[in-house]
Amino acid sequence: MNKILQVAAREFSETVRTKTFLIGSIILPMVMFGVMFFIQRATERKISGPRPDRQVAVINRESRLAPELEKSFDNFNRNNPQRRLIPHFLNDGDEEELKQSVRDGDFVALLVVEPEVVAGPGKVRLYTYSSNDMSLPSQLRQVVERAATNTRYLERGLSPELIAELRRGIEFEDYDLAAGEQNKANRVANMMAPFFFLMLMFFGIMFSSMGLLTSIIEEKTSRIIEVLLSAVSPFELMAGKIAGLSLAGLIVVAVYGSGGLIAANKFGVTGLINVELAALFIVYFIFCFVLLSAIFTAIGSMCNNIREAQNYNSPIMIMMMIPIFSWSLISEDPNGTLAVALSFIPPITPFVMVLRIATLPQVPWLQVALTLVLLVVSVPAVVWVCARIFRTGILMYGKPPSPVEIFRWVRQS
Amino acid sequence: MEDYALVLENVSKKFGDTVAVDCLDAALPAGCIYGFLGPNGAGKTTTLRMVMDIIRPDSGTIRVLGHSAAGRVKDGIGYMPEERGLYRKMTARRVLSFIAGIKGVLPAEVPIAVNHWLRKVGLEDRADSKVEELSRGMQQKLQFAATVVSDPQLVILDEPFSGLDPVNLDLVKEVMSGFRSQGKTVIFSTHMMEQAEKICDYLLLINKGRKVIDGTLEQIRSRYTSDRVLVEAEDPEYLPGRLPGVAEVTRQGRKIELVLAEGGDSQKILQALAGRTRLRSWEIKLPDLHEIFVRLVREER
Repeated sequence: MNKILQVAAREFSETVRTKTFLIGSIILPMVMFGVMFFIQRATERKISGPRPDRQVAVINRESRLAPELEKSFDNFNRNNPQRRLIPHFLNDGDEEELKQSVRDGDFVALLVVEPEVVAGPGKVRLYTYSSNDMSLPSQLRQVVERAATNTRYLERGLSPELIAELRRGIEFEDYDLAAGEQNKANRVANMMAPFFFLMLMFFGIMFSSMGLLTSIIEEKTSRIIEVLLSAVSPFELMAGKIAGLSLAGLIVVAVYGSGGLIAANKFGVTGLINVELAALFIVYFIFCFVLLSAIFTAIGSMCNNIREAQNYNSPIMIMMMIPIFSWSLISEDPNGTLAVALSFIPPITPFVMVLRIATLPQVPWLQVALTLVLLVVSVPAVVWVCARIFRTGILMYGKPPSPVEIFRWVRQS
Repeated sequence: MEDYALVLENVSKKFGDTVAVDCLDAALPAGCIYGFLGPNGAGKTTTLRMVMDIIRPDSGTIRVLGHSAAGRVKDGIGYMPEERGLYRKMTARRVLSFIAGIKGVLPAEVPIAVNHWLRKVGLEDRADSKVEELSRGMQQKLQFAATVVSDPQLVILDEPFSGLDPVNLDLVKEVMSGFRSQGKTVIFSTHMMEQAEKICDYLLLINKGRKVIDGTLEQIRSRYTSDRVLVEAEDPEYLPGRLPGVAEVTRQGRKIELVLAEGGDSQKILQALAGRTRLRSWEIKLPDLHEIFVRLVREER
């Protein structure tokens, strides 16, 4: 035990001394969260202050609509003084020429109102050029629709006063029970929080496992392994390395995690993070960490350099990418077949479960129990196999072993 | 049993179809310097690794310092592998401290041991340089210091002399003799016979994984009759002409070396020579280790 601790202490102190660690765990998060806060502050300032007007070219071929359309734009701009839509009525303009001015950036959009829109069959067409203004189509649609319905009401003989009264809106408030009854819902944050947990786990584990891989290959290539093995057993060496690097990895996770918490606090979504989630995150993190470090330890012991290791790495990396790629599918349907099935594939179980627990309103305790049983069984088995590969692999130089040879190493007593 | 630092009984190890060590027996008395000799690929490194419990023998038993497995007495053994290596990014002092620590030196005693050995191998002013900044010779000395920093009872050195300059070679030999006088056991492998001859108390010669011969230098030498005779005549200019039973005559300073032909009898040659000139001395030249080694290895083939 004492020797494991000493190996762990060396691994830890050598890791935290490296520039990679300093940059990855201190400087990078500082820059990342700094940029995030800067953008957030800038966005806040922008939302509260006026943003540039949007110039829209309008070809209105429905003359009955003209007076109400103008009023409807005015109405929109009264309600949205920070982000106005300025219509330019060019009813006799050439469509192609105006499309060109949209391309040239003179207008953000060209709105073509065809005849017979009020009566029925006419269409309204909107042309934009690589626009990222998400709200523009719906806002313009709203403006034209309001104009068209108002025109219909007027033509049926309703007075403008009556129309205004009928059109009066309702007060609508949106709360999120997960965030506490008093808090307004923040759907973007709700969607991003599970993803944040997933990434936190992914990077925490990647950082340590990659460190483990390079550290073992370094020991192998610098031929220090025999000196170490004359003092400690292969198992003590492996355990010490995993322990030391996991501590370094936990520091990285803690730094990013607390940064995330501060961010969550700032966005007012701390209610999303509860004790159950945090506890399960830690449990799953540890399982996943031990599992992947054992695998990477075995890979490191088989290879003579990083390039060789990459051949073995890529299938594992691809597997670990599965939860990230299926993030949106899982969070849309956290109890769906895909989500449940992926929960029971050991190396990615922790990722998928963390993602699901962070998404679901209720923790699926039965599935948590089942996946934990699965991990309790599979993780020691994998560690055992990897320890055997490690024991033989670290003394082998030359060509990396074939699967048959690896199998033989595992079987050797 | 406890008088032996290391006992090998019937130890065998195969790698695939290659037999690396084949039914090796040896008993190494404690408190001596033991040379482990053999050509490249003889199985020296494999044997030492098995002693260190880094690899396990396929069959046979190994007793180290009275224990059946080196795993339990690893702290009492200093091992310098043939393939040298230390953490390149760590300073000399930190490397030594780490190795002393995992070798079971008490935390309070680590700095004392580290400073002692840094001074002993002449690296005290480079103690805070990274290993990769040290010259090759310095790295060799640091490696040696790392092997003995934990003050082990048994020191195992795999090819300790390779790549050492004469000054460092003397340093290593001096430390080895020092250990012997403290009652410690030193085992080293080498193929440099002159070095082994000078320093070893006991020798074990292996080839192709099998023991060829073992014992003290005198025991081994006495087992081999030499085919060389050294003669010194009173007349320093004297060179014998043709002699029956002599294949070759060479002058070596004041002496003359006669190489016996097959079936040549040294006693008859003495009589013949004595009849021709007055002799001052006459001796049968004992075979040196190099000669025995080459002869034995050749016979095996």
